[in-house]
Amino acid sequence: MTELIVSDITVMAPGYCVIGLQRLSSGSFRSLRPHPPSGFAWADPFPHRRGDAVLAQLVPVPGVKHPHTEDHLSRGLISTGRGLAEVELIGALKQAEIAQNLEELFQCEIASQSSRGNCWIPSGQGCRSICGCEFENIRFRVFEGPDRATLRARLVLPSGERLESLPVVDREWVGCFHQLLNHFRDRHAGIRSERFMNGPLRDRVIDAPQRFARIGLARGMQDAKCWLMLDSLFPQPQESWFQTLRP
Amino acid sequence: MTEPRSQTQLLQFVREIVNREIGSGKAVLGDDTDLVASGLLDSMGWIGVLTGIEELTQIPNFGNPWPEDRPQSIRALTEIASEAGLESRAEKVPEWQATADEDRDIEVAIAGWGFAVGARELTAREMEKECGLRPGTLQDAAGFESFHIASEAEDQVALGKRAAEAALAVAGVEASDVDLLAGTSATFLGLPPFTSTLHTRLLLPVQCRVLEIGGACVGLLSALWAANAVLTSEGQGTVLVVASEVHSRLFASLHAPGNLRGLFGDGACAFVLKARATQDGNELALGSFTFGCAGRFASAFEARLNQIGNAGFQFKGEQLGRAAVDHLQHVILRLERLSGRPRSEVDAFAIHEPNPRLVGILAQNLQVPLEKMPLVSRTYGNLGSATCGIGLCSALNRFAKAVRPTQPLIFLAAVGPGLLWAGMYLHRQAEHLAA
Repeated sequence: MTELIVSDITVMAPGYCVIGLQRLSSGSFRSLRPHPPSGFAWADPFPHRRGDAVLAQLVPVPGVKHPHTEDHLSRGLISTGRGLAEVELIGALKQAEIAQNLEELFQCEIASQSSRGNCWIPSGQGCRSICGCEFENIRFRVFEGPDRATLRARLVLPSGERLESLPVVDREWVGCFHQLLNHFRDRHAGIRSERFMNGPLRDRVIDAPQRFARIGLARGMQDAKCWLMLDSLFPQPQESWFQTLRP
Repeated sequence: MTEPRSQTQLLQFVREIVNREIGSGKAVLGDDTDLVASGLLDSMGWIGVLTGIEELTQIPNFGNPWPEDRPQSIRALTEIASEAGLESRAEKVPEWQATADEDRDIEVAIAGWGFAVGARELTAREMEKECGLRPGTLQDAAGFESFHIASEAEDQVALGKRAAEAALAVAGVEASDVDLLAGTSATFLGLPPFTSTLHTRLLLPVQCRVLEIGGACVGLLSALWAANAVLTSEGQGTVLVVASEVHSRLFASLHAPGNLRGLFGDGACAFVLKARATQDGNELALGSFTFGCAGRFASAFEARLNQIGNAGFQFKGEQLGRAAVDHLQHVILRLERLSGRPRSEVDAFAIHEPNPRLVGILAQNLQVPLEKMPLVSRTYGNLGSATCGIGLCSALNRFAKAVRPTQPLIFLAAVGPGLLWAGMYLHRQAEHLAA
C-alpha cells in the first residue's frame, strides 16, 4: 500500500480529479494521480481534503501517455486519520515538482493563440502534467456565458512571465466562487463576484506568508491540446474571509 | 456609423479568430451558426475566441457577459465588437483629442528625418569569427550580410547627434527652434542620462525640455507617441525624437554570449515633428498608435546585473523569434483596423527586424512583397530601437526621390524584450479631407 498526501482536488465533471504526494526515500515528494476504481472522476462528494494522508494500492496505468505520467490505477483511497496542515502541505509541495519559469513547468514550451488566451501543450509532449510554482501576483476574471459563469486566473511567476487565462479548477476556490455568485444572485453577480475576488480575497492571498500554486494539464481531447489549469491555489479560501460581505 | 470597409474587415478578422480556435478538420456552416450549441467550440474555445477578439480590437472585457438573447455566432460576435468598439472609442478618447479628431485642426507631421550607423563595417563572416560562432550562423541561417559597428570615436551620443543634425537639416529647422527632445537608448548606461547628454551635445536651448524614454526596441515608437501627445495637446511646437544604440560595446563589456552579440549593429535615427494645422501641409502625419505587453514571453530575452555587478543573460532565440513574428503580425492586423486600410495598400513597412530571415517569414505570413520592407538589418545588423526608424528613413528617402504615392501609407511595428509590442501608421496630412 502507498501512502499519499492529498495535494490537489480539482473539479472534473462529473466529479473530481485527485492528486497526492508520495514521499520518496530522498525526503522529497512526487505527485501521483490515483484513478477511481471505476470511471475517470472521483464521485461527488469526495470525502477527503487537501493534506489528508490516505492509503492506496496503486498500479501504473499501462501504456500511459505523456504528459500524464502520474496516472495510476487504484482500488480506492483509505483514510489514515492523519494529515498535514496547510503550511506543512505547502512545504511538501515545494519538495515535489516545482518550476521558476514557464518552460520548467512541464519541461516544454507552452503554446497559446494570443497573449491573453488559453495556454496548452500538445498531447504527447511534456514530462509531467502537474507542477508547482510560487507566484508574484494573481488576478481573477469571471466570464459569464449564457448558461454559466466560469472563473479564470492570471498569474505572474517568479521569472516575471505571465499566464493570462488559467481556468480555476481548485475545488475549494470554485466553491468559494459559486458561494459569491449565489450571494450576489442578480444579473451583475459575475462582475460583483470578480470585484470581491480581486479585492478582499486577493488581498488575503497576496498578504499570506506562503503563496503557492499548482498548475495542471487537462487531458488532450480531439484537438490534442492539453490545456493549462490552476489546479490548486494556496492559501486556500477560509470562511472568515467572507465576513465583509453584507448579508 | 461604421464604414462598410471596417465592418467587412472586422467580420473577416472574427472568422479568422474563430477558425483558429476551431482548428483544422471542422467547418463552420455559416456566420449564424451557434458555435457552442453546435459543438464546434467548447467553453475553452469560446473564451479563446473572446480573448482573441479582445486582443485584436482592444475592447476591454469583450463579450463578457454574453447577452442572453444573442446566439454565440460569428455574426453576433462581429456586431457586438462593432457596437462595443464605437462606444469604447467614444469613452476613451479624451476631449482634446476628440475635438482634434473631429475638427482635424492639428496634426503632427514628420518634417525631417535622418540616420547614422557605426563607421566600422564587418562582413557577416567577420562577425561570426569575432563572436566565436560557427561559420554560417549569421549569414546563412539568419540572413545577415554585414554589420555596422561603432568606431572607437563613436558612441550613442555621437551617432544620435549625426542623425539629429541630418533630420534638422531636412526639416530646415535650427537647433534653437527645438522645444522638446525625446530620446531613447537601451544601451546607454550612465549618468547624466542619454537624452540630457545629447541635449548638451546638440546645444539645444536651455528651455528645450528633455524626455527620456525606455522600452528598448519599442523605444522609438514610445518616443513618437509621447511627442505626438505633447504636440497635439499644445497645438504647436517642434519636437526632436532620437533613438540611438551601441550594442557592440555594451555586450562586449558584459561578456554577452556570441550568439546574442553577433546579431546586433550600432546606429541611430532621428525625426523632427511639428504640429501643423491640417490644411497647411502635405507632409506625412502620425496616425493612431497601438501598444501592449505580453508577459508570457518575459524570460525569452533577459539581461541583468546581479548584486556584485556581473551580467547574466538569457536568450531563447527560437522562442523569441516565433513570438516576435507572431506579435509583429498582430500589430499589422491592429494597424489595418486602426487605419481602416488593408495591408495591400501599405507603401512601406518599417518594422523592427530581429534578423533578415524572420523578416522574410513575416512578409510571407502577411502575404506582402518583401520589397516593401527595407531590410535594414541585412546590411547594418539588428539596431534595436533604431531599426524601424532607419527603415522609416529609408522609405521617406525613397518617396523624396521618386514619385510619391498619392495616398501614402506607412506602417511601423516593433517588438522588444518583455515582450513589448507597438505600432503606428503614417498617412498623408489632410487625407481625410480628400476622402
